[in-house]
Amino acid sequence: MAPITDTVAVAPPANRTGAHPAWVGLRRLLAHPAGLVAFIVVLGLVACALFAPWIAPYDPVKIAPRIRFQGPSWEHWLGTDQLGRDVLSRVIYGTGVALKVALSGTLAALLIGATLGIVGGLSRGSVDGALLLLCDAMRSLPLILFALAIVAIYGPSLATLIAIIAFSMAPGYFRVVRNQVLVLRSMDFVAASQSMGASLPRIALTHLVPNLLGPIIVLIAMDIPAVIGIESGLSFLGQGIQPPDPSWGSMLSDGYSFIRQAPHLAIAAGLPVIVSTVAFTFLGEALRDVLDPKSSRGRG
Amino acid sequence: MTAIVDLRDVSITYAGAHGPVPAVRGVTLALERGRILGLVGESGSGKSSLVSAMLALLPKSASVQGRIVLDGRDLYSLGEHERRALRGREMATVSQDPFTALNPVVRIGTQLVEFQHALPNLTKPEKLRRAGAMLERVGIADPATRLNQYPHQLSGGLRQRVAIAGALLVSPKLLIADEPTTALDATTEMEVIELIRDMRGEVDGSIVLVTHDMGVVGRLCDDVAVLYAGELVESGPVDDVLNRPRHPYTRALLACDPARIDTPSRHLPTVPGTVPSPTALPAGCIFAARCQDVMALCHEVKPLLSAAGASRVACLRVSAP
Amino acid sequence: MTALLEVNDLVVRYPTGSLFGRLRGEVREVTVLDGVSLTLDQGETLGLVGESGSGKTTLGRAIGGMTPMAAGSITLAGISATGRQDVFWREMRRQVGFMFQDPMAALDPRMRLAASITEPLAVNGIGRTERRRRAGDLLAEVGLSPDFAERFPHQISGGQARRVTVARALSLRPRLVIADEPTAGLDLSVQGELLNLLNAIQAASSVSFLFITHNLAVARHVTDRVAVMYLGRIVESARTADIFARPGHPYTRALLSAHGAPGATPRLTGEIPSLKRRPQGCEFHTRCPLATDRCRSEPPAEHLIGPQHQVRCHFPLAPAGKASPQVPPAHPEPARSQP
Repeated sequence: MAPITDTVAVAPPANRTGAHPAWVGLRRLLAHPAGLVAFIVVLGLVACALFAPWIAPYDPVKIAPRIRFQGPSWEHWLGTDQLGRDVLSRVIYGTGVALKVALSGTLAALLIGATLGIVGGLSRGSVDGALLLLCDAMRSLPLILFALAIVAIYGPSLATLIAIIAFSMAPGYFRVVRNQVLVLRSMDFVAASQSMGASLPRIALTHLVPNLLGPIIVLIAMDIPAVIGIESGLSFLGQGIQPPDPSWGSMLSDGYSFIRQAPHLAIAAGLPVIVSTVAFTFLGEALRDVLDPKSSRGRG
Repeated sequence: MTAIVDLRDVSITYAGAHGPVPAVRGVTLALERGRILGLVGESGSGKSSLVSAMLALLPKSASVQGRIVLDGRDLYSLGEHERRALRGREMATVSQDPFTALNPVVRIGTQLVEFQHALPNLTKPEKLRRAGAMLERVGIADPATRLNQYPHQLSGGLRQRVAIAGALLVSPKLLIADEPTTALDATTEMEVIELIRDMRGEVDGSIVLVTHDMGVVGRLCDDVAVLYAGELVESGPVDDVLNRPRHPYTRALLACDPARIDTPSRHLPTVPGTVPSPTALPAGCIFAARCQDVMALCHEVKPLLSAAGASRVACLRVSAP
Repeated sequence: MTALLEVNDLVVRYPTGSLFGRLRGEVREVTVLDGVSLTLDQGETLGLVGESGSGKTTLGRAIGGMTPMAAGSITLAGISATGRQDVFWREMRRQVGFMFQDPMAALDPRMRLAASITEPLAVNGIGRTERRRRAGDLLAEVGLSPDFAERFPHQISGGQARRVTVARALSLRPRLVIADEPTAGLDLSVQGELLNLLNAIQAASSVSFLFITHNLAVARHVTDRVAVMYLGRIVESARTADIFARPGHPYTRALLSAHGAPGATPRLTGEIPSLKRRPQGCEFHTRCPLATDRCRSEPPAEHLIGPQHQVRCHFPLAPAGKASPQVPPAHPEPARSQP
């Protein structure tokens, strides 16, 4: 068919770069003031985790009884602990442990939660009802008691820790994803897709997942600090990462025991917990702004 | 006649990402006591900005030039505190959506009492009594029951009646009704129009009806002001503007209204072209690019509002034929 | 000539009630459409008018296969469905394009317009390069320049979004387009452009339109026939000129007068009753100024009061001799002799 009517006058479109959306998103994240700082800090944390053996000045588990409880000095920037180990090296190695637990725990939780959330949201009916009931039951468990019980049965280890985190965080992801799916499936563009005869998997892939991605990424960034907190908390109670492996929580616990002799121990272990928590939270907030498609309006 | 609201050369400029956006430019308009003014314009005409300016409710990114005088007081020379006091006592609004205008978890009676917060020397029971009496006057049967109900227990039309009652409780000098019938069904719309007409005596000032519906204007208003792309192009008594439109835009707009075309036709009139962006305004007449009667002069000289009969029109064909 | 679309005694029910109610196996339903029948010829435009809650949108969605039907049948181009028959619906969806009421909500905010427009093609397995080419053609067809293809929905205006949904509805070259309030929220000047576009498309391709609207002024210009809905039933249907000149149902007359010139008298009292509490007898009796005891007890049958002019009323207005075609006739005196 030939063009029928007059062509509408067109203003130059707002975003004409044609760049990949992820690249555009990253550029906008770096233009966000809090996002830039948070992104650099998170990048630094990841670098610490990946390159700990090269960055750390000493072996984190090497005991040196002669230099116990030393304060910060040129040889040991953050001093040494009750066994003479270099605190800075332990903090750097601890980053790896913290991020490993946080990332694998959150991703496992996301995988379980999001899958069940999409299933529940799409199926509705009794499947959804049963999942909802299960999720609410799990959320009502007191987290630390639940964790201690699991540790008591399976023994403290990295795997146990990740499993605990996955199972305790999954219901949250389930809730968010399911509710989002319910909202999305009531939207006309999903109805439109259905009216074209699109199958459920197709709708899930083309419409649900892209629209879920933003909220989920934000949620992960917001949850990572909480997970770091859980790991630190359990290690502080002696139920998480076991000595001599360095962990911020167990270091905090040690520092707490010697707070009168060597206050720098508690400070050195607490600071990375605070910094990483704040950085991930800010990153989440910045991502929330950046990932809103409408926020690109009027930008170059 | 005395003007309740006097807009003198009012311009509203928003601070945009790429420089200032002059959304409204040089609007001079007087609202007279006891009359209903229809403020008509399509999207981008600046009618919402103008109304927000009258209520002193513009966002921080907007600045107002010119003067808006409410019953003798210059709105923008008052302090924020005094402006807020005016909003509660002398101005009232009825919004487009009766579903969001009322708080869903608060009883009607409580909300109607709260509407009267600016009225001094009245006790709560007195305010509740006034609320009940007002519900009765806006034609709500059994007001005692309604006062105890929540908004969701009322239909859309009833909710709009409650919103109108709430606006009238303070006997405002300026009542702004922003598309009050758009969300309502045709049969309910007529009832609400009749209600506003019946209740105009309760307003000790004037009513501004913001709408895009020429039918509603014809049935309810005394005067009309037509805005186009942020400028006032024509204003005057309803009968003159709707039946003898002088500005080419008013004529074109009225010609587009399917309700005004007597013979059914598959091909409907349109206004070719698009509204100019406020950041790329033409040098001459704002409507020149879309005008059927355009002259060479129109692209260079900006027409000023000038009297034509009982109306004022901004068109070179009218002012300098 | 056989009709392109034939709907017979269509019933649609929605489940209501809480999660716990459903777990206990309670089935509570609301009948949204109650025995709707209509026909639509190739190249014809049928207007579906009524107030909110009349069921006109549900009827459109049921015909578009988005709402399961509880009873009745839909026949499109000779193929019928009486329930959930997949073969029928697959063919059906290829023949029917749908325009949603809110064009912005009907476009995925994270999808470029080209992808949205050609989604029906993708669902039907048409490849990427072919889709890209067709997207350009479709944009041109609805009067949008090719650079719209790469934009996102939030970068376009409401009127342009309408055109995009028109393009999507046309992408599979359907024989029927269901347009749900296609002009809602549009400025008067833009409304005319869109209606002219739809008309030009129809003239070029003889597609049929089911035009759902509450705007009678628009319906008068762009439809061939009009069906008036009230509480999930068609209460009157006729050729457009006839229904405006000689409305047979009291509800139609009230609607026309609400739209028409001032001074028209019939007043409807109250509002549309809830579907959960459907009135006995004639559904309109609670608001009808002419209701009798018979109306309150006995549901009216359909009467033919003129060629193609059907009215569901015990006392349809007898066809007036000559009424002016544009102005709805004044309401007759309520005191009418009963047949």
